[in-house]
Amino acid sequence: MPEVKTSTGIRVNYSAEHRTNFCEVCGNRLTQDPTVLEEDRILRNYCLTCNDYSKGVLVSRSISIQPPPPPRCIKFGCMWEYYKQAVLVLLLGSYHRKRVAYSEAHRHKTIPIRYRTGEPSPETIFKAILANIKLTIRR
Amino acid sequence: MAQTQTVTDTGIQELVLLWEEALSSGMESIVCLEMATVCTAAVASTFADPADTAIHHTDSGLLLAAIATVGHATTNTTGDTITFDHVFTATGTKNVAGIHVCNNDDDVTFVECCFNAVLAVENTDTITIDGEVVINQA
Repeated sequence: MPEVKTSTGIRVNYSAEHRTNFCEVCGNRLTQDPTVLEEDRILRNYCLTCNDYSKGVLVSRSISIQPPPPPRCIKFGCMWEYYKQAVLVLLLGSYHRKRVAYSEAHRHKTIPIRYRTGEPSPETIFKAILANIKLTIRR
Repeated sequence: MAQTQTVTDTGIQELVLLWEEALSSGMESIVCLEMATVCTAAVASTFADPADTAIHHTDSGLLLAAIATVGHATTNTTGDTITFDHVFTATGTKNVAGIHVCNNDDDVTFVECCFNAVLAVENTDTITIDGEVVINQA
């Protein structure tokens, strides 16, 4: 049976990192470098203690969840693979929603870093179910 | 609902006008969306009417601004991806549910993105946006 390839059109992919204004290395308040780079057009955070450009402490990182690619044939194996990927995407969507909400609600507390970064993300349906349950309990 | 993102209908319309060399403008501006709960990105959203009950932030460092960096990259074929990066620095306590990526005339939204969850930003917090739009023929 021939395999079918389909175009998926225009795809948007992005991440959003929410950080505080305190250096992630030393914890001191960051200042903004008044030197505006032409290619940046933004002020960059600078740590006077570390004497270097620095990022703030990470609160949460939102990431895109892409839908699974369409099935390439109507064999049971193709359809089963698509079904598994679709279920995993749904579970991952739920996991990342709970993870970011949990991180935002606990911005001043120490929580596992994986909840703030989203990495590593569950790779299987079973792990995604477990991760969802853990976050539901933690809330 | 997971984090959602989409190119809007009006964004595609503006893209077609660009190809036609008609009156239009390219990707230039970005603004944060204000909403107390998670929004869901929709193709029918417009600059004037964002997803659900979201509205554009108009202050606190989260308002409409020129995108820091707009460039292009390669995902499947040479130069098939437009990239955009921006950092918002909040000047107050606000809820941020997502972003709109808009044209130079600030009247068309190309891309609408809704975050995994609402970000509760405080004064001097930063939100770093790192995004791409792939014209995917793979």
